[in-house]
Formats: sequence, structure tokens, C-alpha cells
Amino acid sequence: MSSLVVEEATLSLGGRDLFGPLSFGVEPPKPTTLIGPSGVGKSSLINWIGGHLPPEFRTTGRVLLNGRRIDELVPEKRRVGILFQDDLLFPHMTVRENLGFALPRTYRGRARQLRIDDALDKAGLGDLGGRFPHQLSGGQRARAALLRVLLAEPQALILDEPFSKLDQSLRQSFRAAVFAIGQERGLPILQVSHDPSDAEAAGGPVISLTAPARFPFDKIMPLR
Amino acid sequence: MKRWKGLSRGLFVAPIVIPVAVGTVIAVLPAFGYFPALGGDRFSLAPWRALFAAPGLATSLMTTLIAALLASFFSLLLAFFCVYHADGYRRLPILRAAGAILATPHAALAIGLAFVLAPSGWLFRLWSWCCGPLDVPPDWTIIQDRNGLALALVLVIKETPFLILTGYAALGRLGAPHYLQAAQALGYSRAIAWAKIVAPQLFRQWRYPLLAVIAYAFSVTDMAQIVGPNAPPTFPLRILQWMNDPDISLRFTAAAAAVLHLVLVGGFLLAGGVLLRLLGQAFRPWLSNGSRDFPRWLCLSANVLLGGVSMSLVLLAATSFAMLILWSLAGLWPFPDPWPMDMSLDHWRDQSGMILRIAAPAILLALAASVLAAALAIALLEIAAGAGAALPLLYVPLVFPDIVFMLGIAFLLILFGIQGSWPAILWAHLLFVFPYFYLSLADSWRTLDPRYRRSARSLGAGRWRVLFRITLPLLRGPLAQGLAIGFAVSLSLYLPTILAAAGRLETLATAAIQLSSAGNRHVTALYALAQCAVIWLAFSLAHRAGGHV
Repeated sequence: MSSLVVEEATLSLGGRDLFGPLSFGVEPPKPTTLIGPSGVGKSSLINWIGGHLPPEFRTTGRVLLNGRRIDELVPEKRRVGILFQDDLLFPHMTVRENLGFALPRTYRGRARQLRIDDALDKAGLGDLGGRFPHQLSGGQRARAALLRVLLAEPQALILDEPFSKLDQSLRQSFRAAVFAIGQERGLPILQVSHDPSDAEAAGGPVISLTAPARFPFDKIMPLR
Repeated sequence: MKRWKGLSRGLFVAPIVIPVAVGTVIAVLPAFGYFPALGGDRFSLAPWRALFAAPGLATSLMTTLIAALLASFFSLLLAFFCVYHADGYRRLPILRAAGAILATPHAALAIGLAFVLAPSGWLFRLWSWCCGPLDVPPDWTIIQDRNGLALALVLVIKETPFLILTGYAALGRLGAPHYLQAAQALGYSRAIAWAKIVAPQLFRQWRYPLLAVIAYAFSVTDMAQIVGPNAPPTFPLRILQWMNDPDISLRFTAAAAAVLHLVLVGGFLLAGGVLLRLLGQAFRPWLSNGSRDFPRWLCLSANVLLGGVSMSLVLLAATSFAMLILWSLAGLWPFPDPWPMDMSLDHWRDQSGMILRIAAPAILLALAASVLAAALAIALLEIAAGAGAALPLLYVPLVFPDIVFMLGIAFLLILFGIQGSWPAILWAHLLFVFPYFYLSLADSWRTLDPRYRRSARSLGAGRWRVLFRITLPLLRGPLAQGLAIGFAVSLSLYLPTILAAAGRLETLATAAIQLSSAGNRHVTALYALAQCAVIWLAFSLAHRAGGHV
């Protein structure tokens, strides 16, 4: 079975430890949710998994994807698909071109076009392939971004709060679609969230990162 | 309210755009023989006949074209390479070197370069010192060569930093880091993601600075005077010579030549634009064909070759500057010696009075122009705030060949009899200082978080108070930087000073350029250095005042 495993991870920045040794495994079908207050290092952890951590950080530990160690690879070799907070569709390319950018070169000629058409149709974006990202609605953009990640054929999916900027109804339906596709493909999914409803909807394990209180809010109470 | 905004914006842009338009139109009249103030009462083709009969016209046009083409192409190539590396971990050294070269006035750089590369220059002295003595300088024309290669070289050194800094600023606006991350998560290496994602967007953002560089390369007069060919000189220089000739009838020839110049530059830009568009179309399928590999040898050889060229150019610029210092201090320094026989401050002592007399009015002019430009730009931004208007019209004086509309403006000043007056000179300088100031401030102004202003308004501060207590203090750095840039631009302006002042105002720039042809290296170096010193003083003051620049 496919899995994303984090072993004994520690991250520190400028001599300050963000969190202690942390180990967990992510396995399909249910997405694993990482929650915790802001500043605790959730984003840094997934940036580390994705390979986007700035060099100022010090890290120890390992990341294994399907038994293969990936934390020492360059980002493009890790095969970890990431849905970011913003859709990050490339503004100078049409939706089709964005999808083509992601699709591996092994698909050529007619097969390539068919693969893209098929993906567009299934996502209900059938006739929008020729549009530029700025000509789409928020929901359409979110779906196009998801398609783009999946077409690159990742072996795991990381969700960096991709639902947080969507409105309530869109959020629920898009979230359900992402989870369903992940399950269908047997992809390990790790999501990061502030929102408890994301964890509920996932229905999988929840990892709660806690940090020592940094600012004593009770000290300013006498001001009242 | 909205209409008022549009109108007032128009009012501010008018003093910049109208002169360019009017100047161009006015240059067309004498080109066809009509300019009663100079005795041309009716339209005729005589100026054109005179122009095409001018000896060496084809050579002038060819050298101008070659120098401009080479300079534009290599500046763009090097800048592209440097911006790619400035986006990574080599940011600071690249941006610092670019900033230093950009802050060096054109004339000083060209003069220093001539001191290095000329047959009697330092390179051959060094050669003679270490590889066997030469008795006389080799009989080669390196500086002022017939093909304009030396001119192209100086243009590349001077224009690449401008493209690097504008390109780097554009990267910030594109949000490039996030897109690169997304592309890497899709399996692309940084280099190829940069080529497919960042580069196409960068070119779109780069088009105005690029146009400015090309137009500048075609129309340059100050550096052409120093390192360009002189028998015959480049085309813009010949226009200037005809315009300043004691024989008044040649001014009509100058006007015809300016019109021809405009047509040629316009045609070239049009052809270049079409070519780039076709190239873009040709490359478009490659963007989305899914290919993730980049030939490694291409990456490697580009790094070695372009990196080597960039570093040699920086080294050359630094050596040029060192030569200026050496010559200003040198006593006797006969040919094959690599070092002067003795050094002293004699030249500085002898010339300081004269330099001060020339520098003072130029500095006053530069101060007045930059402060006035600042007031105009702040008013414009405050009124247009929120509209987010880039006001591409302001690029007009930078993109349009200055030799053309400045010629028309000179005709206009002749017509009103105010050529050489202070307001006329100040206005001519403002035409160039204002766009530079505006462009250097506009980005920071627009990216300033509007919530600071909103929360200040909600705390009860009026519009003026917000401007002076919140907006301007927050923008202290860019403001100081903009003032320094405006000051430097004014102090380096050559053509507008010559044409608007009609020889009645000598500035450090015009003096250095005139001296460079007289051949006294000691004194020429002094004036070039004095110009550098004043400009660098302005930048360091701005650096202090702005906290950070």
C-alpha cells in the first residue's frame, strides 16, 4: 500500500526549535490532517516535505514516499503534488496549456490531447480549456488547479489550506471532490488546516502540533 | 469626481507628453523647408536633397544601426542571464554591481573606458610591461572604430544594469517564487521552470525598459561623442552637428535627418516587435508540451560563457574608474609605462576653482529639477492613487528618440526667443527627470499596504495629514532614492542641455565630453570624476536619509 512517512522530524530556525521529533505515517484512504496554532511550523513541515524550505532552516529526520527516501531529493524529483492556498495557475497560459504543462512528456500527440480533454470534461471544464485563468470563476480555478496537480501523476498529495479562500458552499463541494479523487487513486493525502471542519470532513487521523505559549496574553488583561 | 480625477491626471501628464508630441511635429516643419523664424518661407524638399547629398551618410547610418543592434541584443542577453541568477542566491553581488555601474554617469564611464582600451591606453601599457616593450602605441583604431564596436561595448556596460534592475523589480511584481514552487511540485527543475513560467511573463513586463534601451542605443549622443566613430560620426551626432552649425541653412538638414531617424527607429522597433511576436508564437507549444528536461550542456555553457562575459565587463568598468583616478593624480605618464612617474594633487588644485564654477549652477539646476519632479509625481500619485494607473505615457520621453523631439523643442525655443534661458533649460531637464522619478517611486507607492492610510483616516487624520505623516514617511527610502536618481539624471543630461541652453550653460557633463576630444587626459579625468563624486554624494545622502535603499 502506498504511504507517506515522516520519521523523527525536527525543524529549527536560527537556533530555535519549531517542534520536537515528530513521526507519523499517512496512508489512504482517509486524509491525515495536521492542525495547530499559527507559527507552530505546519507550513514549514510541509515545505520540508515538498522540498521548498529556505536554506536558513535546519532539519533532521527522514521523509519516505512508498518506501523511497525523498527528503534529500530536489523538489521536482519527489513526486509530491501540492495544492497551495492560491491556485497559482500560470497567468500567461490558457487552462489547456496549464494542464499540458503538468502532463508528463510520455503522452504525445493525439494521446496527449485526449488525456487533457478527458480531464477537462470530467471536471466540468469541458469548454473552458481556451480561457486564461483570470477569465475563470473561483470554483473553476480551484478545479483547474486540482486537475493540474493530478495530471502530473503524483504519488502523494499535500493540501496547504487550498480550501481556506473559497466560500462556504464551494469549499464543501471542492473538498469532497479532492478527497474522493485521492481515495479513488489510492493517494496518501496530508492536509494542513486551521479549520476543524476540514479535519471532520477528512475523517482520518488528526495530528495536533502544539507549541509553548509565546505571548502571555493574560498579562495585558489589567489594561481593561 | 471621477472626471475630475481623469482631468487632473491629464494635467500632470500633459507637461511631459505634449512637448514630445509638439517637438516631433515641429521638427517635421523645417524638415520640409518651412520655418519662417530661420528664413524658410515655403515648403520644399531642399532639406532632404541636402541630407541625401551629405557625404558619408550611408556609413553614418550603418554604424548607428550596427552599434544599436549589437548593444541591444547583448544587453538583453546578459541582463536575462543576470536576472535569472539574481533570482537565486547570487542576488546581492549582482544587484550591487548593477547599481554601482548605473550610478556612474555615461560620460565618465565612456572616458574611463577609452583610457583603458585605446592603443595608448592602460591595456597596451600593461601588455608592454609584462610581454615585451612597445615603443609606440599600436596603429589600431580601437576606440572610435569605424564600425562603432567600442560604442556598442560601452552601451552594453551601461544599459545591462538598467535592464537587470528593472527586470528584477518586475520579478517581484510577478510573484515569481510562488509560481516556481508550483512548477517544481509538478516535476520541473528550477532552470526550466524559470524558462517556461517566469521568462515569458518577465518579457511582457520588460517591454518598456527594453524599448527605452533600444531607443537610447539608436539615439545616444554623449557616449558616441567620446567612443563613437568620428569620420563620419554616428547619425544622431551628425544631426546635432548640423543643428549647431553656424550655417543656419543646415538646421533644415538637421530637421530632415531627425525625421529620417524617427522613421528608421520606428521601423526597426516595429520589425523587432513583429519578430518577437513570431518567436513567441513559435515557442508557445513548447511551454505546455510537458517536456521537463533542459540540455545540461546548454545550461553549463551559458553559465560559463555569459558569466565570464558579465564578470569581465564589471572588471572593465572598475578598471575604467581606476584609470580616471590615476590620470587625475598622474604627473608625467609617458607611453609604455604602466604607472605614472609621479602622483600629486596638482591637477585637482589647479582646476578646483573652474570645476566649482561649472558645478555650482549644474547642481542647482539638478536640485531644482528633482525637487520639482518629486512634487509633481507625489501630487500625481496622490490623485491617481487607487486607480493603479501605470501611466505608460510617462515612458514616452524615455522610449521616444530624444534627438528627434528635443530638436523640435529647440526650434520651438528659437521661435519664442527663449533658447538658453533658465526656465527653458529647467523644463528640458524636467522632461527627463520627472519620468525617472515617477517610475522609481510608483511601484513602492502602489505596493504600500493601503490599510495604513485607511486606518489613519479612521483614526481621524485628514487627507493632507495622512500624506505627510503616514504615506511619505513610510516611503522615505524610495523617495530619497528617487530624488537621487532624478538628481543624477539631470547632472548627466547632455543632449537636452546642449539643445535647450544653446551653448550658454556648461555643466560637468558637457565640459567632460568637450574636454575628452581635446585630448588632455588629466583634466578630462578630473571633470569626469567631479561628476561621479557629486552623483555618488547624492546617492549616499539618499541612502542615509532613506535608512535603506
